[in-house]
Amino acid sequence: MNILTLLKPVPNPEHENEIQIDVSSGRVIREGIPQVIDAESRNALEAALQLRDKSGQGLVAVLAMAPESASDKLTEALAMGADEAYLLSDKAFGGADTYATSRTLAAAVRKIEDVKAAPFDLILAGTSSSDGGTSHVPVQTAEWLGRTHISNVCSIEAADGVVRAVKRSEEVMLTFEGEEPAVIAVTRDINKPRFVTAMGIIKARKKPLTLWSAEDLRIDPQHIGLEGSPTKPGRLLAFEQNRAGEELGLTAEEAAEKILQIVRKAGV
Amino acid sequence: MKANDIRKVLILDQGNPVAGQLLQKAAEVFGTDGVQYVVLKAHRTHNLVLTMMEETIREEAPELVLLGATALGEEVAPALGVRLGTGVAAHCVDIKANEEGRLTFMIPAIGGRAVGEIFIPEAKAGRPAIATVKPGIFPQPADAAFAEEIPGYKVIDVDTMVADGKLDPGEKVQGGFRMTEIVPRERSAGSITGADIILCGGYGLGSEDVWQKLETLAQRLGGAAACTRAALDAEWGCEEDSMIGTSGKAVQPKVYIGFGISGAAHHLCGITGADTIININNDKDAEVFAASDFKGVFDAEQILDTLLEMTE
Repeated sequence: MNILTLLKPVPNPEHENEIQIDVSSGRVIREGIPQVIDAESRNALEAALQLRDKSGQGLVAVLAMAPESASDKLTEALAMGADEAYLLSDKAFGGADTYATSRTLAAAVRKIEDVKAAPFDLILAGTSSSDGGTSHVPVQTAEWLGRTHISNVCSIEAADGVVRAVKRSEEVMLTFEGEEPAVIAVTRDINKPRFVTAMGIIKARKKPLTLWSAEDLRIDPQHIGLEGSPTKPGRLLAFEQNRAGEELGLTAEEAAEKILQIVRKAGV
Repeated sequence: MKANDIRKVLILDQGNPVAGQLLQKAAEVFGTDGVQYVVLKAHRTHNLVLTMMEETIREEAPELVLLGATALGEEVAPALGVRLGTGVAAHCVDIKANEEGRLTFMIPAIGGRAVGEIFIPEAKAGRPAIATVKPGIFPQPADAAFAEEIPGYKVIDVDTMVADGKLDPGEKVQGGFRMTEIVPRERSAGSITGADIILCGGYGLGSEDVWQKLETLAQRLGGAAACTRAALDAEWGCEEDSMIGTSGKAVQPKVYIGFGISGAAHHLCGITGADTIININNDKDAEVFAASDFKGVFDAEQILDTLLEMTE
C-alpha cells in the first residue's frame, strides 16, 4: 500500500503557557517554544506504517506545510519508519486559513502523485491538532482532491483496495466501507505511536526529504497564504473573564473546608 | 459582510439540542424581522448530510450557515467550505455584529490565550459564511416551541423524507463510503454533560497518581471527573469524552473545581456556563484565577489529599 500521511508540527502543548500574546498589537510571541509533531499526526503515521507493513509492500510518505525550521520533525517521521518526506515551506504560505492550507496540501499531493503516476491508496491525517484544532484540514484536502473522507476514525483496516473504518461520534460508533483512494483522519485511540530508535535515526539520514516552495507547486499566488484565505483574522482580545477570584483560605484545610461548603450549598 | 445584510440563516439539526441553541442565538443577533430561518433536519451519516446541505444552500441561498461542532458538523462544515468556495469559522464562542456592524465570529485564538475575531468578508447569498459552535456554548431555549413564533421559520425534514421513502439516500450519495454498522458507544465513566459537579484536572496534576485521587474524590462528591487537553495528552487515564474545551465539551455544572489548570482559552470557553468556578493552582499568577469565583494558591495534590481525608 502507498500511503501519504499529513503531519502537523505544533508548539509543544507542555509549553503552551509560555506563549505570550501582546493584546495591544495582536502579536503572538512564540519564540523559543519547542515544536513537536502533533499527537494525532503521530497516530496517523503509526497507522500508515502498520498498514504498509501488513500489506508487505509500498511506501509511506509524509507531507507537512511549515517553516523550514520544522524539517527536523520530518526527519523524525522518517526515523519512525516513513520512506520519504515533503516539506512545503514559503513565506507566501503564511497566514493561510484551513481553506488555503488544504488547497496548498492538495496541490502538493497532486505533484507527488504525478511523479509516481498513481494516486496514494490512502491519505491519513490526525483529526484535530492541539493548536488550531479545527478538524478542517483533512476533510478539506480530500474535497480539493475530490476524494471521499471520514474523520474521527478510531479503527482502520485495508485490503485489496477496500477500506473499512470505524468513525466515532458522540453517541455511536459507525463502520464505513469503501474503495481507495480515500482520506481518513484518525483519533488518538487508534494506536500507540512507536518510539524512534537509534537504527531509525541512522536510516533516516539516507531517506529523501524534499523541500518545495510555492513556485515548485505552480500554485496561483492568489490561492495561498492570507490572500487565498476566505476567513480573515481581526483583533485578538483578552479572553473576557470577570469573576471575583476570592481566596478560599490561607491553609489547605481552610480551602478544602470552603470547597465542601460551596458544594453543599449548591445542593449537590 | 454586514450582520444586517443577513436575510436567511440555515441551521443543521442533527438530532441533538445544539440546533435550538443556534437558532435562539441567531434570532437574538439577527432579529426575526425579515430574516428567514431554515432548519435542515438530518440525523444521518456525513455523506448524506453533506449532499443535502450543499443542495439546500444552492436552492435557498442563505448568507449564514450554522452547525454544531460535533463529529458530524466538523466533517460537514469544512467540506461545504471547499464546495462553495467560502470560509468556515470553527468552534465559535460568540457570533455578533461588531462596532462597525460587520458579521464577526469570536474563536479561541492561537495558543489558546485569547479570543480572536474572524471575518468572512466575501460571504454572500449562496456563498454563505459558515460557522460551527460546540453544543452548550449558547444557552438552551427555555421553551422548545419558541421557533414556531419566528415568522420566517421553515423546516426541511430529511429524516422524514427518508422514512417516507421520498428520498433515497443511496441515490443521493453516489460513491463514497457506505455505512455497514452502527453501534451505541460504551462509556466507562459518568458523562460530564449534565453533571452538577465537575472536578477537572489539568497538566499541573503532574502524575497518574494525582489524577486517580481526583477521580476518587469526584466519585465521593457524586460528580464527574474531567480533564484538559494537556492532561489528556499526558495519558494518565483521563478519557477523551471527558475533555472540556474547544476540542472537547462545553459544560454547565453548578460547581466546577479545577486542579492544576493554567487557564488556556481553549479550556476556559468550555466552562463559562458553570455557576461557580473554583480553581486550585500553585502558581499565584495562573490565568485561570481571573476566570474563577474562588481560588486557592496550593499544590493540587495537597488539596485533593485534604479533601479525601475530609470525605472519608
